[in-house]
Amino acid sequence: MEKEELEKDEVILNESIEEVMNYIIDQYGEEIKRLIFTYVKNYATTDDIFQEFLIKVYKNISGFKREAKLRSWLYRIAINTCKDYLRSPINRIFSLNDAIFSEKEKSAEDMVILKENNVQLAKAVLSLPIKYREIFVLRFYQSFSLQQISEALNMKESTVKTRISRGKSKLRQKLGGDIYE
Amino acid sequence: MNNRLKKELDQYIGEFPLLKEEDRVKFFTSIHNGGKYRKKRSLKKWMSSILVSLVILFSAGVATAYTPFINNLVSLVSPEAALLLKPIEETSVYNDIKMETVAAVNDGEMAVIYVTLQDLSGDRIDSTLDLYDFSLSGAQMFNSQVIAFDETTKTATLRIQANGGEELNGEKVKFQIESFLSNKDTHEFETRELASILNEDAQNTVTLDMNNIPGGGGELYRSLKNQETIQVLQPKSSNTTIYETEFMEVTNIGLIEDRLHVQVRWNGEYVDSHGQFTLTDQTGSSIKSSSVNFGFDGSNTTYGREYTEYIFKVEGSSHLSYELSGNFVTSGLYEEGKWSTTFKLQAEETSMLETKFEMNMGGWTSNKLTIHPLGVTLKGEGSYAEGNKPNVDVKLKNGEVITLHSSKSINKNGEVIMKFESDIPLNLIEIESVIINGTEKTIK
Repeated sequence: MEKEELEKDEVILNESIEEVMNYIIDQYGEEIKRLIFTYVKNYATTDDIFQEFLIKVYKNISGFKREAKLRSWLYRIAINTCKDYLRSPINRIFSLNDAIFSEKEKSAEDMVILKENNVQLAKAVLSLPIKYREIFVLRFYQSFSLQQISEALNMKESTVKTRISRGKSKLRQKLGGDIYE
Repeated sequence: MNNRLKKELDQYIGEFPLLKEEDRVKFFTSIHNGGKYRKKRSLKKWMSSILVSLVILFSAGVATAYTPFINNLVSLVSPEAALLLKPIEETSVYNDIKMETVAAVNDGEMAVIYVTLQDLSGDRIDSTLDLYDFSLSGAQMFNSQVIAFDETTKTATLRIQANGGEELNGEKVKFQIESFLSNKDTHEFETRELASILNEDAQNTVTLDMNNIPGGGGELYRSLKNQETIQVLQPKSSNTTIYETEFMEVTNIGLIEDRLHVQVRWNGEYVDSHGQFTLTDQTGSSIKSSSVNFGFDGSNTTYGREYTEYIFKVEGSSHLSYELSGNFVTSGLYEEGKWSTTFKLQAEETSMLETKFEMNMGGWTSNKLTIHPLGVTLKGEGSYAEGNKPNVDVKLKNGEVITLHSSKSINKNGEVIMKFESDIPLNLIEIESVIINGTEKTIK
């Protein structure tokens, strides 16, 4: 499956920039948007960040090195874009604002989607600090290998392993018990 | 843990596709048109007027006279960031709706402007306000977000971010709103088993020219587009009403080859209605839909957006037990007008340091360094890729080192511009040096 994907990626990169962008949107758009959501936890912001992500890809695709994997490269751009947003001074105002609102202030649209589902593990993971959250999302939600995570986050595999281990400890504390492998 | 976390996160995020047709349209519009686009997205509700309070607080020079309530709010946000807001206070009134461009933050490459919209005589402005047709002259890419709504004064505050490059700096710009949506509401297409709504007889179909449609989305869209023509369901072939609301109707559901088609006709009186269907199989896994938009003249398909055909790939014969559900959003109000303000976006030249230097970054060479309150900008020539992004730190005179993690890059016609944003605004007189990839550049 991965081999097929790589071959498709390789073939499409010879096409026009418009074709490449359409391919990226079709092939990776949904998973990238879901990844972005896990960082910003807001649908409207996810839409905006996704646009910034596409613009970055559009502007940098000519510099993409073929020996790298397209998917990992796209994830790195998406992750960097999310972190840019989260660290921007202006966002601090809004995130602090956001923190003082309660769940009941979510939009009607959010509520339709969320309802009162039993999503304790998801909530706990999304409340982890970014450095643990991103690794959990990539490992257990996007099913990335340690090597793929290492490529996407530009860090050593040993660091990835350590963060998984520490993240699990933090999760245990939050959930008040064991977590299952 | 994999399965449980995946299932829960899917539930939390929402199992319908986050990727929408609008994402593609918006992207290609911004690339090709270089400025104005029609935004289609839902908004988050914000219930406080914190930013309004801050803007009033700092632009009116009443910092010593604010109430304890505002005092509390100020203690919650970064005062340095709040002080970056520069008052503009230009207003435009049309049809009893007042737009005020309140303030802006500008660092020469990116601008954030704050705008309020107030209904002086009715309830046309609410917390679901969504700018539909708006523009900022000179901006290549921008977005808007409601950050506050004051129920008492019927005033919404919007944050508009423009990535316009240097051409915005020092220029008079015109911000204009030509239409907006509000009074948004969500509707749920309640879960139904396919067997109860699917007509398995051979379907009457019509041909759709994929080169004559305004767009579509989803995983299948590309392959559908490559087919040149596809078959879609005959609009309204049955007298049975499957699902109908004021703004949309499910006009037909059927199988064409190995794909399930769900056809929706939109009521043209409602602007920007949109939504998604989700198909769930027996195991609880969701199948994402793709979609195509088209018009219909009574006998043939035409270019238009009157219909959307949602298409799912289904295999085998077990699909009858699949469940179909959906979520839709519509706007109760679409208001047109002309609200326009002209003002000057000016980065503070006095608080900007610039120095020339040369450093090889691998693939590109940086030759100019600029420091401003929002961060550090490197300019140079060559080809930028994520792999040759430099590490940039700012060293203060007191010895503290601030790492600038955040960066934005523009690589156009051989020119590279990299912006590194600081978490907190930088006080330039406190900066000792900038450290790039370990090499220290002293600021004089």
